[in-house]
Amino acid sequence: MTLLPLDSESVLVPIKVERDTHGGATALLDWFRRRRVDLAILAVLLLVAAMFHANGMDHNPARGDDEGTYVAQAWAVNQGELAHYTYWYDHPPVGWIQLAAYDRVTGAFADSDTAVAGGREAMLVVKLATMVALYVLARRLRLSPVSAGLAVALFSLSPLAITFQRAVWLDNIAVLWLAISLALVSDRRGRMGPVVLASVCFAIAVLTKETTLLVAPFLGWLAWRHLPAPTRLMAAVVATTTSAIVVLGYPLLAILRGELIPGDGHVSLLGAVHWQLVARESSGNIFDTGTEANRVLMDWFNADPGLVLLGSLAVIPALLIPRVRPLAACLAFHLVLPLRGGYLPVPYIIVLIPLLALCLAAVVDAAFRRIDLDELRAVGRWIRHRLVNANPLMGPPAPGVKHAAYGIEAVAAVGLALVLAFVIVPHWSATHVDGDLRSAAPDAGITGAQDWLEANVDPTASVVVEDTIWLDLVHAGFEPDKVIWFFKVDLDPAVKAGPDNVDYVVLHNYLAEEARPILADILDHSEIVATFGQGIGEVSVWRVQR
Amino acid sequence: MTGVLTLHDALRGRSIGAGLAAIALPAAVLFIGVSRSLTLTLAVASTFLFLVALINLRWILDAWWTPTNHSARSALPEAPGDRTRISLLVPARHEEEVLAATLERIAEQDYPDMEVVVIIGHDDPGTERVAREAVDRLGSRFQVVVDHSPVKNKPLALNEGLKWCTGDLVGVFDAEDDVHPELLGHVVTAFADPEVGVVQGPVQLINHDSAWFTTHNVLEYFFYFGSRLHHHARAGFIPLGGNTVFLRRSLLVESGGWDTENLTEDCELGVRLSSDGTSVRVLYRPELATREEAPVTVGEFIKQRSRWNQGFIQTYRKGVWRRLPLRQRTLARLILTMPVLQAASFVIMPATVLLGVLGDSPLIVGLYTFLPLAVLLVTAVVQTIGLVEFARVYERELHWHQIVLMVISIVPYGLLLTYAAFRAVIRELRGNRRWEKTAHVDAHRLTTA
Repeated sequence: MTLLPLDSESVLVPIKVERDTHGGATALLDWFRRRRVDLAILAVLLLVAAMFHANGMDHNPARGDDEGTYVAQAWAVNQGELAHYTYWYDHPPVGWIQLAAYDRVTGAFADSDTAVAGGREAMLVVKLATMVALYVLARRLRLSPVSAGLAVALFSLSPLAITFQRAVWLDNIAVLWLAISLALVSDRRGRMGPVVLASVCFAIAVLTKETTLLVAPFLGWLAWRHLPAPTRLMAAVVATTTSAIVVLGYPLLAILRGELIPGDGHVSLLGAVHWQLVARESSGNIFDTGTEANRVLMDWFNADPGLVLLGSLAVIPALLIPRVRPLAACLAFHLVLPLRGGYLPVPYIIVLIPLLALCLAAVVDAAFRRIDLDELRAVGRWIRHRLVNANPLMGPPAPGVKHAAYGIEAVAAVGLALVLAFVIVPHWSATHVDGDLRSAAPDAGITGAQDWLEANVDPTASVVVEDTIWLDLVHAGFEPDKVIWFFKVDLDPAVKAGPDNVDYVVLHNYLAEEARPILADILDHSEIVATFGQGIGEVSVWRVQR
Repeated sequence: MTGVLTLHDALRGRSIGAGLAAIALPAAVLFIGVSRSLTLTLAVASTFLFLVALINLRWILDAWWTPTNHSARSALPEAPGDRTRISLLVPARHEEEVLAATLERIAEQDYPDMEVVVIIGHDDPGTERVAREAVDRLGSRFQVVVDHSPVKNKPLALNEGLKWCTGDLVGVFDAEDDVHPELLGHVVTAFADPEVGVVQGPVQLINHDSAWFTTHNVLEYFFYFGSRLHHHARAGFIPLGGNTVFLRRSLLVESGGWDTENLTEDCELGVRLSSDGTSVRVLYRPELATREEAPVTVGEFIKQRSRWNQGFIQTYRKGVWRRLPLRQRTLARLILTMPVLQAASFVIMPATVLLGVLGDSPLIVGLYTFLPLAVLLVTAVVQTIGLVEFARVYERELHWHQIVLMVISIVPYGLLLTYAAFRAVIRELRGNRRWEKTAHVDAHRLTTA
């Protein structure tokens, strides 16, 4: 026995590697060694998420009109314009400028099956980058590698997440910048550089999708927590000013274009802001069945009841964890905000998904952190003891259970784990394994119409279409001036379209029913020549009669 | 303005880059036409302005950049050093108004082993009389040395005084300085580390409320001694300040003392010692800072500033710094040209913004020309925080309208700096290196008393 080394612990301690601060390669190798668990978890997650995300992403969910608009606007950027129609400050242009950069580098819009599919390819890249940022954020908030992995898994694999993250929403790009800035301000060394960098990233997020401005106070709160007292004020002020100045580049753009203030004969930034904030139609009360808001809410809920419900519930315990509190408060704020009524955008959920995932994972992490495995085993013995004795009231306490409180927490943690296993996983497997997320059926209507048009119509024809296929038709040889987005027929005075100069109309049937006057007039002079898809996804091709 | 210098350097075959830059513009006009050349020039100029503003901002933020920077700058040396004799040089010229009070304040030092050498020109009997009276009062540690050289300037006086020093350490104070009584003890302690060759102590202008431009001058000192110098010391290249600076006498004698040709003998000495690899320790504690007054008339301010700028240009042209390794050499180039670069910025910036907005350049270039302005805005905010912190730390009264005045006078102050830099370049080109001394009216004592 005495042959063993006296300090047997030293056998278990890994040999300390001499660090060479000057050798870049050695330092890198050392970094890899120290981060190997994180890197392994992240690599597996990225691989799995990329697989589930990419499999079927071109036609599932059905390609939307907005997606086509962003892709077409990105295309226009590469032609030297801000949009394929008059840019009217609907959103700041930085989101599709980034899409344009992706297209410029990869040629994805023209090379992919459809232009929107090219945009969705960019979304996959955005998502993978967001996963890395989210993982770093979770780790910096001191979640264990496994818990951080859980957050990223929820964020990337939830059917709700996949549905929304596949689509070309500006919000997806904004969330990437948001995640980067949140991760940067959580720098534990309290340096100013990362905070200033974060403020620039946040400004880019706002300029990508203006709604992310709502996150600002919570980002500031998180940064404040991570800055040491002596440098806090200076760093906070520099970062806030930097952010504000970058964002002010947007009104500056409007001023330089002479379009800040509403006036005759031109669009304006303030006019657009007024429409977004005041004039826009409310989506109704989210709890009233039949309202638009309620439909949007139920769509989210049905896509992944587990994440939406558990994540929302997790916000309360998450608020009790100081290091997660700013993000939990951010989630709480975003959950409460739709209750006030007003317009509820469909992609509103996108910014919530990482927050739901993170809060849920943080609560699971905290629960498991409070109990060690011995306690968990003791609880197991206690339960077995009770079951064996079959006398729940009289049984003596099991050996090893020290505090009743730990028992309760352990039960809560186990319960949560069971819910995860029995609620979230079955729903996910239904969508992932049974193929709900791989089916191209939702997109059949618009794909059919698009194929029909490209096969049967001469490219010199004038067509009114949804933006979804606008860029595809331009790529197919149609003239950009004669491919008209249906939305602009009635709303853009610069677009001159009527029954005498339009040859074909391609539209979802439900959109045809609510057509505005000029478009309705065109449809009145037309007959349906082909129909594709089913139900709400039904798309028809009209030929104008002359 | 830098064009003159860089062209000059290019002709001497030193800077290929500058030579290329000089032919780039005509070449561009020739090949891509006037309109696109203008766009290109705007882009290049804005990038230059952006970088100048950014580097400057990074320097003034150095103390707040990391928590370590912040705690390290105010750390005092720990182990008490040996009782080393320290000799203080106090050159004075036409300063009969302020000299006596300065000497009395120095006499209050709690460090015993000190000698004070007051240097007076032979043509300045008024100051000499005040100095002799004070020395008689203050005892044998004080002595007056008369400088008989036909030309008078500060480095000549310092070199004369150096001959009379007996201490291992030599320090410099100006005739109007308000020195903290515990300063020398900390300085001597800092020299306990044999690696340390120079200790630069803190200096702070106090009279932020004397005139609209003194606020800016005060802020420059606040950020210079509180932040920038620490960055430069870490990087291994540091122009020293004119007073509250302490050196090993052996080092000073070996390197030949102060450069009597240079208008900023302090900066030149720092550059020369840095280039020899001397380690400089920067002490910063607001309570230990030597309090000084900023010039209170525009004329005095311009004279002082153009002297400094010219001294920096002289030091740049002398080229001792060129023997440094690349990293420090780049920093040296930046530090020595920064006053002129900033002055140039002030002229170029409005031009780029105007051309960017009104010219026919693409919108993105128009937006890009605003980028340097954005950095200036951040700098303005940093200065605001700095002013508030200055007032708190140095216990000065600050009214909100002084903050507003500071922010709105950034542009006029910039114009003063530009004029001073322009004047310095002209004087240097004409070979006019006459010493213009700054007058002192004791404003820092009147206002703090």
